[in-house]
Amino acid sequence: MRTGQSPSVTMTGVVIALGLLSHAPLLWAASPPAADQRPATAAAEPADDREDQIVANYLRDCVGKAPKNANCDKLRNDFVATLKEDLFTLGSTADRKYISGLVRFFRRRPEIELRIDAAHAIGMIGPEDSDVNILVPMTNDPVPDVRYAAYHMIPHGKGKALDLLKERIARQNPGREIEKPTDAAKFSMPVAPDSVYLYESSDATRGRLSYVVRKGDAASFFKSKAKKGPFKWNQFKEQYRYQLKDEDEAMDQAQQAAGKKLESEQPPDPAKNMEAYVAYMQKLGSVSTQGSMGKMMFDLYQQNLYGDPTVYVLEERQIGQRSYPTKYAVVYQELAFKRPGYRLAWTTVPDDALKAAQVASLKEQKEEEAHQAASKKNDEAAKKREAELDSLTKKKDDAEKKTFKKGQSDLEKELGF
Amino acid sequence: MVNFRMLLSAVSLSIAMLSWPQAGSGAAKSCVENMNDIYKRVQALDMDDNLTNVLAKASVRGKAQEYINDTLPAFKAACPTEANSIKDLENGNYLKKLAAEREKRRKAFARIKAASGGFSDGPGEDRDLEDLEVQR
Repeated sequence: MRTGQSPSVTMTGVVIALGLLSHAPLLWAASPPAADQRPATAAAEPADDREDQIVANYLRDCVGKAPKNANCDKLRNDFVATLKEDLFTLGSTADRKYISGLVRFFRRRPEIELRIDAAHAIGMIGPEDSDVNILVPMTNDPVPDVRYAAYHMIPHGKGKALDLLKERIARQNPGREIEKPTDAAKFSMPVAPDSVYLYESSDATRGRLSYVVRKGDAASFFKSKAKKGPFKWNQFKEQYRYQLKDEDEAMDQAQQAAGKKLESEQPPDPAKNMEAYVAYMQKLGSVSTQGSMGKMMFDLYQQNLYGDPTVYVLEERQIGQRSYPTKYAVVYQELAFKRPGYRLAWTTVPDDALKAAQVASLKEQKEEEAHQAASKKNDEAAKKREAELDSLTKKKDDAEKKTFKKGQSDLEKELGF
Repeated sequence: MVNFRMLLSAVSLSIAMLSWPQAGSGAAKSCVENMNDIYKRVQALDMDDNLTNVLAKASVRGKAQEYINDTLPAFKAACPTEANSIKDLENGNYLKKLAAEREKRRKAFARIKAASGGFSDGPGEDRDLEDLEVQR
C-alpha cells in the first residue's frame, strides 16, 4: 500500500464498514433461516424417489432370462429414459471424477441407447490421455452405432494419445445389430491365443481380420506356423509385387463386372418401393468398395500407428505361372491401443481371376525384365567405355610426361648441365 | 441517532457506488461481469462448504453465506441493474439451487452405479476396464 493513499483507503473502509453495519438488519432479514440452508431438494425429492424406484424395480424384476414383471417393456422404457437423463446430468458437470464410473456403466449395460449416451457423457466431460486405456475397449463395441458414438467421443478430449486413437479408429457404418466376430477357422486361418477380435478393422469379404493380443507375443505363434518369412512389410510388398498387383487387378475386374451387371438392372422406384430402393442403393455402395481400393485401408500400415510390421507367409500356392502368398499374417504393435496386434490376410479372388490378371502382368514383367537387362547391359557398356577412356587418358598422360622429360633432358644437355 | 445512521448509510452507499467499477470504464469490469464473478465465487465457496460438510457430516454454508453477506450490499448499490441476481443471492435461492443440483448429481450417479451392478472407487478398480473384450 502506498503511504499517500493509506488514510483515504482506510477511511473508505471504515465508512463502508459502518454502512454495512447500518444495513446489517436488512441483510439479516434477507438471509434465509438456518434450517433453509440445508440441501434444499424437498420439492425435487418425490420425483427422484420415483426415478430411484424405476431403476430399482427394473433391475430387480426385469434383468435376467426370466423377467418377474409382466410390465417389463414399459419399465424398460422408463428405466432407459431415467438413466439417459442421469447420463446427461453427469456429462454436463464436466467433472472428470465420473469418467471411470461411466466407463464401467458402459461395459455393464446391454442397452445400446444407454451405451451411446454414456459415450456422449464422457465426451461432454472431456477425456484425457490418462483415460485412453479404459476408452479403447469402447471403440471395439460389437454394435456399429455404439462404436460410432465412441468415435465421436474421442475428439472431445485433448492429448497426443487421444489424437493417435482418433487417427486409428475409423468412422463406422451405421447399424444397431450386434455383430459377431468372424470365425477365422472358416477361412483356415490360425488365431493366436488370447486374441481379441477388432470389429472395425476386420472384413472377411476383403480377406482381412484384425486382432489384438492380451498377453504374450503373436510373432512367436506365427513364426511356428510360417512357411516363409519373416519379411518386413516393405520387403514383402517388393518381393510379391506382381502377385499383389494381380490380386488388385482381379478385384477391380470383379468390381467392374458387378457394376455393369447392376447398371443393367432397372433401379426400383423409391416412390413405389422404398425398401427395394434402399437395398439397391446398399448393393451399389457395396459394389463401389469391392475393388482394390476398398482393401487398401487394411494394407496401409502407417508407422505412427503400427510401428514396423513383420509378415509371416502361412501359405504359398502356385497359380498359373506364379507362386502367390495366399495366406499371411502381418504382426505389428497397435500403438494407439498400446497392445501387440496382427492382421490375418488371405486372397479372396478365385484362381482363374488371378490367372487372367497374370496375362497382362507377365507381359509387363517380361518387358520390365527386358528393360532392366537392357539397362544393365547399357550400364556395363558405359562402364567399359569409361574404363577404356581412363586407360587411354592415362597412356596419353604417360606419353606426354615422357616427351616432356626427354625434352627437358635434351635442353639440359644442350645447355651443358 | 436515526438521522445519524441514515446519514452514515447514505455516505457509505455513495462511496461504494463511486468505488465500484462501472461498465465500460477502461479495464474495469462491468456489472454483469462482476455479477458473474460473484456467482462463480459463491459456487466455489459453496463447493468448499459442501466438502467440509461431507467430511464433518454437518450442514452449514458458512463461507458462501459469509461472502454473500460481505459482498452484496456494496454491489447492490453500485449495480442496481443486477437487482434480480442480487435478490436471487439474498433470498438464498441460488444456494438452494446449487444444493439441488448437487443432490441431483449425487442421485444420478447413485443410479448409474446401481445399474452398473455397483462398484467401489478404490485404487486398482479401473484395471478390469482396460480389457478390450466387452462381454455382451
